[in-house]
Amino acid sequence: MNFDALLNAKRKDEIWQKYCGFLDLSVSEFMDIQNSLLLEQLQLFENSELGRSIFKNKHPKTVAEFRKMIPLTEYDDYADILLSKEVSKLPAKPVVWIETTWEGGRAPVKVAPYTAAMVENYKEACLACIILASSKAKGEFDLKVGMNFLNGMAPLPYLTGLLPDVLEGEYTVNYFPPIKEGLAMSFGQRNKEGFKMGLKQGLDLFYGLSSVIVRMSEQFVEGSGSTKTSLSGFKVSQLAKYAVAKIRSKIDGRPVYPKDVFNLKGFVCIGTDTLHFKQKIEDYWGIRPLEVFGGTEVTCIAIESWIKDGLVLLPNMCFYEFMPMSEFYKNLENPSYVPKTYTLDEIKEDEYYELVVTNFKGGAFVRYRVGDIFKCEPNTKKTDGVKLPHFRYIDRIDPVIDLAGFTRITEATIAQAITMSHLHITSWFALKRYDSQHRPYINLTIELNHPQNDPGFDDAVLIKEQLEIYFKYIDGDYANLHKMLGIEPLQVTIIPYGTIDRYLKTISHPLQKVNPNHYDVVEIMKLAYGTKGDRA
Amino acid sequence: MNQILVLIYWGIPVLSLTFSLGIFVILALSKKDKMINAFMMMMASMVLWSFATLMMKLSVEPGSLFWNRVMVGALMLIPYTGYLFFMTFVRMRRRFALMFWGVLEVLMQIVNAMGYTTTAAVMKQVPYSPYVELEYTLGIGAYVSYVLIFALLLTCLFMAQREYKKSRYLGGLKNVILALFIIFIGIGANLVPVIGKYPIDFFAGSIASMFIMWAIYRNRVLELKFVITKAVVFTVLLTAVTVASIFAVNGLIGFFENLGMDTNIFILIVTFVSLIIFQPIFKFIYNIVNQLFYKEEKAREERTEAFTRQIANNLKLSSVAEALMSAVADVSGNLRNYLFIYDEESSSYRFYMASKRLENLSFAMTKQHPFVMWFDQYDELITGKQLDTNPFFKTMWDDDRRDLNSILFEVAIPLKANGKLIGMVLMCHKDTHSIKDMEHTQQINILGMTASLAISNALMFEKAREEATIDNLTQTFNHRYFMDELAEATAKTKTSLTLALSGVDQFNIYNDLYGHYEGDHALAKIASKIKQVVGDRGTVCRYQGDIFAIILPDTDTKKAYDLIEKIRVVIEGLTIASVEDPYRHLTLSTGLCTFPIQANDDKILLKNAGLALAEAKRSGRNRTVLYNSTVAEDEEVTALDENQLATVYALTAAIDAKDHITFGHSQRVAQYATAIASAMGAKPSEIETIRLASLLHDIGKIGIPEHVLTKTTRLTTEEYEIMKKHVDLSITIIKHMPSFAKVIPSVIGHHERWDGKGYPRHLAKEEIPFGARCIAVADAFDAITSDRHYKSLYDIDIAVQEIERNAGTQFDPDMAITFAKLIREGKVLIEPTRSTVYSIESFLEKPVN
Repeated sequence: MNFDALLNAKRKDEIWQKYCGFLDLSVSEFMDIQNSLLLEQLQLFENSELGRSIFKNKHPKTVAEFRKMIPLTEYDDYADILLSKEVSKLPAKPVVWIETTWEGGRAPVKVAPYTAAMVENYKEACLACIILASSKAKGEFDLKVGMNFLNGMAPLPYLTGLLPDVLEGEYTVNYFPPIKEGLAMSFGQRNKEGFKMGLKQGLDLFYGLSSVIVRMSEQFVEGSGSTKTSLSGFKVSQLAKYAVAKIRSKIDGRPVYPKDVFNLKGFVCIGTDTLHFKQKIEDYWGIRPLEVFGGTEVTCIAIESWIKDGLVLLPNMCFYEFMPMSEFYKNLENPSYVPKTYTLDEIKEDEYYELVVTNFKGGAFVRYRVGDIFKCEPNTKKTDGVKLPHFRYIDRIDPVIDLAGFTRITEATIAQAITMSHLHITSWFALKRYDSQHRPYINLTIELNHPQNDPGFDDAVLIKEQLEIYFKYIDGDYANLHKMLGIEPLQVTIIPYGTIDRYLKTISHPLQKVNPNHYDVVEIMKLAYGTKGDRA
Repeated sequence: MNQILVLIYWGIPVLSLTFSLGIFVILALSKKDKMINAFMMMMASMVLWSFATLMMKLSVEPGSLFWNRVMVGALMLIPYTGYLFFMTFVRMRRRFALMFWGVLEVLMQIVNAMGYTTTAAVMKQVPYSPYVELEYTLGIGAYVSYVLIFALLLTCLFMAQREYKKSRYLGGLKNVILALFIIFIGIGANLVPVIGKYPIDFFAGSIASMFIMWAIYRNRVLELKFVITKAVVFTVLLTAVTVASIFAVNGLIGFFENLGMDTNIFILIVTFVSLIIFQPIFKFIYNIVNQLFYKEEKAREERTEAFTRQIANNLKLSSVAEALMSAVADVSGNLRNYLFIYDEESSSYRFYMASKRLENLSFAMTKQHPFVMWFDQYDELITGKQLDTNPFFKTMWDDDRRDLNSILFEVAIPLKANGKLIGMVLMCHKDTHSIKDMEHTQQINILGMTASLAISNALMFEKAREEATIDNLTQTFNHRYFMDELAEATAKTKTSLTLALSGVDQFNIYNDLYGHYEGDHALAKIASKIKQVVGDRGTVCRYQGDIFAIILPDTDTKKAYDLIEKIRVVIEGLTIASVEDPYRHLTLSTGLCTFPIQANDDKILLKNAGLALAEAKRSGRNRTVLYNSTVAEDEEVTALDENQLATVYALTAAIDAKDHITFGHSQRVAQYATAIASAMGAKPSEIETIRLASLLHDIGKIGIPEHVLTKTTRLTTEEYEIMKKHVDLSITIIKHMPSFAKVIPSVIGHHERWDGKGYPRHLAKEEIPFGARCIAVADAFDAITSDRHYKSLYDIDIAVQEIERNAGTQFDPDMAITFAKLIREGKVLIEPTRSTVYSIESFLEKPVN
């Protein structure tokens, strides 16, 4: 029986148990699943050339041996085999290759093979997202066959584009815009068109990038519900709703909010800065969005429960290890240091961890450093009674600045832009910051030399404009940040020449160029501007 | 005609009331849930409707109008309660709609109660007819109510039709739709007076109730068979008999009064008769009910009982398993059931038996298999659906899932004894249909529980038996098992049975060279290979030491020979793995004998196979020899196996080591003595004994002091006396080796003289054992021709002449002459180094007085 049939047969309990039953697991039950599937993966991995290249003559037979013997990996370790898509060298035959950009990598994209079993698990995870997004209490979800679904995410070969394929034949929904038409559109167009269709015919489910949703909502509110669209195709009920919303907004003297026009059943959002956008989305749409975490290399691995307050990991997608930030920094300062990792049953509440994953079901990645930071939140503060730890997705690891899930800026990107700009920037560091509207941006602190020969050298705005030309040139998505999301992604702070050098002489550790630690930044600012310091 | 009309007029409402009340009672007795509650409400309104109608027709106080209004009120309730039931049935939530119709319902009831629906109602006698008819006037409220009732029923039907399109998986929905439609028609019929005057609505109501009841039954919400209990049958029947008695009394009382009978006596008789007939009628009806509802269950119960009897005190695992799988197949009506039992050797649950013969599953379940882990924690069975829905089974590996999918797995039932999982039964899809009847699986669960203990006992018994019958080192059956099995197999065989005895060649040397640990390892490896090649064609046992016995039932000599040759080649090419010597090899010699052609019983079979094995060893090893008459002639020879021969050689080597001067003496004496014996016409077995005796004749010299033994000059009398003791010493040594006992006469007599002047027993002529006489000649000849340091050289001719010269005094004359002849004719080869000769005096046995 597929999902449609189960829905029609009103087998709600069965649906919940099948897709959301993992929320009833205890930590030890969760670990049983993790350990069992890891052993399966080890067997698959050992018999493959990719496995042998990563395992390097080691033959771990237990989970403990695996964690002890196998080194942590990064994409570079897999690049030769994966980028050439050498299927015969993989642990299992893939059915699809998922792609994403590889910032600072030696190729423009990273690819990851997905086996049939991984796709099946991904399907279950997607359905769990949809169910939980429409749930207000445990087991109480509001889904029907043929709901209107705005899929505002990127198409294949991106992971989000796999959704329509996995739902096909399982759960029937009306995509806004229809899949085929959407493929011919740009990302922005697709979202706009989907929104328009939703306005006319009503919208039940929304799956999108948090930053984009907020921007669309803002534009809708700013235009006060103005759709700039003809009345043709409007459903009567939707038109009535729209008319009532308009009238009410006039009477109350407030703008029309999406929640006045739409009666969403479920809202699924993803993206790096979702944490900062969630409340805004709820205010606009009248429904709390469900946050999901996934990625090319890891698939969909974490979903919020029905209370939509903290991510819960799925037990059968990957084997999870957590590297505490203290270990992360030790490794950052001394790359030869082997950082300690912990499993789900070993982590502590209120701690920050970098996630390390090993794919299950024949996936390619082993002890892979995803580059994302999570905070383990205390279960005592959660009202859902879920015994598994809840996580808050914090951000990318420090050396990467992820802007609203749109683009990832690395040290290499900034260095390249600076070199291309021919500005006399001698020293710099970059920080991720949020503006008053919780929108992320890069604060680039720079030092210039020979100021007397460089007219306008101290004009931060001019320098910013000049640098942005090259940022846009190097990173296509950077340009979209302003265009689509209305974000000003860069701010420049100029500090006196030699400040950073002076500071470096007082410390023993190197200064991290991207997201240096807070103490270093404060001290540099003190040196630059006196004791008051922190202008960044 | 009128009577038929009366029957319809009264009968249908009475039946309807009884029927509705019956269903209501059944529902009240059953386990409640939302759906049952909703249906009970609907049935309650139908009961009220029928009851009010009857009361109205009987013009019971406070009058027809009152009961008419009650009836109308109940009638108006039916569509709403039906609507409520429908919503519950399809699990639909429409609070607003429910409230809306609820408010209208209340309004309708108020209007009815206020008298706006029926303004007047009275029961009137129909002229020229035995029954009364209702005359009524409808008020404005009636029309409005009818419209609303129809609107509600139509809404129901519309929704039902829409739901049906979506939810055809919902069992029984079709019946509910049909029931709603029937109610719609029934109530609608009232609008047409020609039809409406008949109780069509009651009839429709009863039929609709039946359909709904069936729908609920289909949905398994209500287990009808459990509800229709003995008590219900009893109650209903008692009511019926009472009513019948009343009618009987009422109908017949006048007749008996006319006869002048006392009515009290009549009532007493009726009551008495009723009581007498009640019990048999009750039994009869109860049996029918049982037949109808419990037939299958009863058959299954009987099957379970039969199974329990079958396995009671049964300690044979295969019989218990067979009984279980047969019972499972009978109860489930499904042949695709598989039994897995824990196998200690592989620490996994392996396929043991299927309900269907010849079916086999190749996969096993380790202790990490989710099924095993589940049953370790829980006693509940596992269903196919759970594999998809229960996160516990996310631990399952893809290979395991594929295995289960390949057999269309449906239900797993644990077999637990003392809390320990000893096995499980996997029930799979019957063709392509899934097993829906969980009741069957529950019953099979009970079968499993019963079987668990029996299987556990059988396993323990088998283990104990195995421990008693399995050789630990080689994991083949041991000698004891072999003897029993051989006797049983030969007794059972109807065609031919071949026994192979395979001995590892020179295994004692291997053991000496590499130690017993390596030897054991080699034996285990060889046994494993033999088992592998033999497979299920025969039984491999460790007969003794390095000899394996292979019983091959229904195998003729040719087939057995081919199989054993295959084993021989495999063993020959087998590397007995060792770090130090990866090229170490061992070979196998085998003797074959076939029953009943070459042996009449198991004992002869074993003996003959042993003879053939000895022949294989003797004739060069690493070969397979079939038993035949030639081998049979050498029967005695088989008494010596290779190990014993090795002992003999070890002993002669010990003498050689002590006395370097006589090095190789024993072997040469054996060569000459056997040549003499053969020439004298001795049987092969005698010759073999003489050979052995020759090898051992001087064994006692081990106990002679070295200075005497190796003295280069003539021995003194004392020294000679000491030297003579070697004969006694030889016997003392040989006595400790019972299998060499037969050589004693030859050894003890080899220093006797033909003329009776020898030692130790002074025997003469034929009193001296034949073998001893042969050895005496051979011993003397070798002494003359050997390079002894206390003698001078003599050549062979002189030595032969000396033998001839002493014929009839020291030696048996015939033997001396025969031996001389053999030497001269070159039939006995003398090694070149023996061409030097010595002084004659010292080699001849001195006459003793």
